[in-house]
Amino acid sequence: MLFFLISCFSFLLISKSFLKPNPNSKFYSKIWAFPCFSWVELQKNFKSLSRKRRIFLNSFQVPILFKNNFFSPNFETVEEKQVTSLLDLPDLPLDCILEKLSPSGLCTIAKVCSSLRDRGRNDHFWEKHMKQKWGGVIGEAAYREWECFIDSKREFLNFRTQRRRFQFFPSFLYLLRNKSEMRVKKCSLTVNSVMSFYVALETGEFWFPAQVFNRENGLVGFTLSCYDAHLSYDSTTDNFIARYPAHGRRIIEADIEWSRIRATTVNTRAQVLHISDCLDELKPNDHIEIQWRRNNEFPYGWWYGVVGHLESCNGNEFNCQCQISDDVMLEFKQHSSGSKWRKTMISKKEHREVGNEADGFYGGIRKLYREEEIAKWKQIWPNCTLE
Amino acid sequence: MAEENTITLKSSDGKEFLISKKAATLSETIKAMVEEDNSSSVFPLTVVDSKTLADVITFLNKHVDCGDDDDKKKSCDEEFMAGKDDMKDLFDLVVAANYLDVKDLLDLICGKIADMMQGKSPEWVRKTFNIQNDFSPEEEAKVREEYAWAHEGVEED
Repeated sequence: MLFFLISCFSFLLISKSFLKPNPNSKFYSKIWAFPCFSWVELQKNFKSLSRKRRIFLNSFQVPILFKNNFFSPNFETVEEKQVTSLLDLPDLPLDCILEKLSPSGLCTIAKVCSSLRDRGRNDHFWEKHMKQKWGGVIGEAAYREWECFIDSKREFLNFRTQRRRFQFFPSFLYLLRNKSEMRVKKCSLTVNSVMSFYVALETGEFWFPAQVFNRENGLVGFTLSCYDAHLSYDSTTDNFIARYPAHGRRIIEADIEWSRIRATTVNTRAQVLHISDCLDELKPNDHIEIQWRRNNEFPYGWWYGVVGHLESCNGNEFNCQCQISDDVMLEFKQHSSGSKWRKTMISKKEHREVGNEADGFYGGIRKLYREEEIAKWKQIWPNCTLE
Repeated sequence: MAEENTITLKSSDGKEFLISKKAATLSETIKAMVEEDNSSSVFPLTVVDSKTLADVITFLNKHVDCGDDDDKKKSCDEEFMAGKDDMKDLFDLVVAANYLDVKDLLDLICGKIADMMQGKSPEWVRKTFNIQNDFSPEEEAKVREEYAWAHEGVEED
């Protein structure tokens, strides 16, 4: 089969040389360039496929010598000068170049010609940029919401295309449906590609779900908390705008810096009690986050704390029984020791939402295992103790 | 003994280059050739001309000298790339690096080409890399609108 292919290329080469005798024409050099590249590629592919590589290589060399000697004494010169355009490069090096371009570089080459525009849209080139710029703030929830966003956009376009067709060709509507879907897929901004996601984030078109530390510019009541929000990026200021859902009305906050944002950490929505799966393993000095809300009309936020010692324990590590106790003491050291917010006790056995209208309600707990997560809280530690 | 450690590479225009096996086998393609045919000492490379092959050999020798030290490699690469601005030479080197399967060289040259494109206008890229604009006016307007979010380069050559 491979030899058949090689024979075809050689035949094409020879026949074209008879048909187009003018070696200066563009077409001529293009035709010559093609088999020579196939040559390189084929040689490369055979390298890994064949253990009898040397034999293959020798067999490839014969036609080149044959062509050189018999058909065109200047063929070597043509062969060596064939790469005069970036587009003449084989796929691997061309992809290697595109891989090294920044997002703005990829956008520039997209405006150069259709071939580079189509090639530059490949997910492979955008995944690295996506991870680099958005990896820290885009979590599973954001991906899920993006899928819905793109589906609704597709449906809207499908509906529009079908309706337009229906007016003129009602009987072909069904037959044309597949075609219209293909057309919609061709429209780059509606395709679910990494690039379209990147662009939607970069332009601020897509409001993604994430969490914001110290919401509302560090309002005292929100110090050392992290709340769910929908965010839109503003590339001119390199900041974000957030929309917080709050009892019937939306609160908007602008100029939020990257350092105040993180991806949603759990799959629990802000209105739902998180099921704590770490209660039995909690021991003093563990770092935790706990849900808290003022009342059930408000969403939960996540608040940072540590596991402290129970009242009955003197804190001596050799006598400490706190880990085996049915209760766990949570401590919020940002508050002064006399503050009602400084400590709260949770039952390990039947922990659900606990609290009252005056002090608010404590919900689910997640233990922090990763140093980066703990470090993030420490970065925003308040300068003075809170009451 | 010295002969056993060297091989000869023959360029497409018939010139021969003596190179140590250690340097030559940094190319995966040459390595496979040598492994397959241990008795030969001359290996013809039909798609690499003598000028490009000389450059590739310089690169391979430099990399053998640098060893695994990343800093040394970096300075070797900078030295190797100095003055390499001719597009034809860069294209030839890319094709040779691809054919000979020398990843470090391919990365280096591709990185250089990518750096050249960075911050430039589409017109500059077309002119420098000899690319025809095949967009219809409508397509061009559409693609410009679609990518309007990215800040266009201002450097013109």
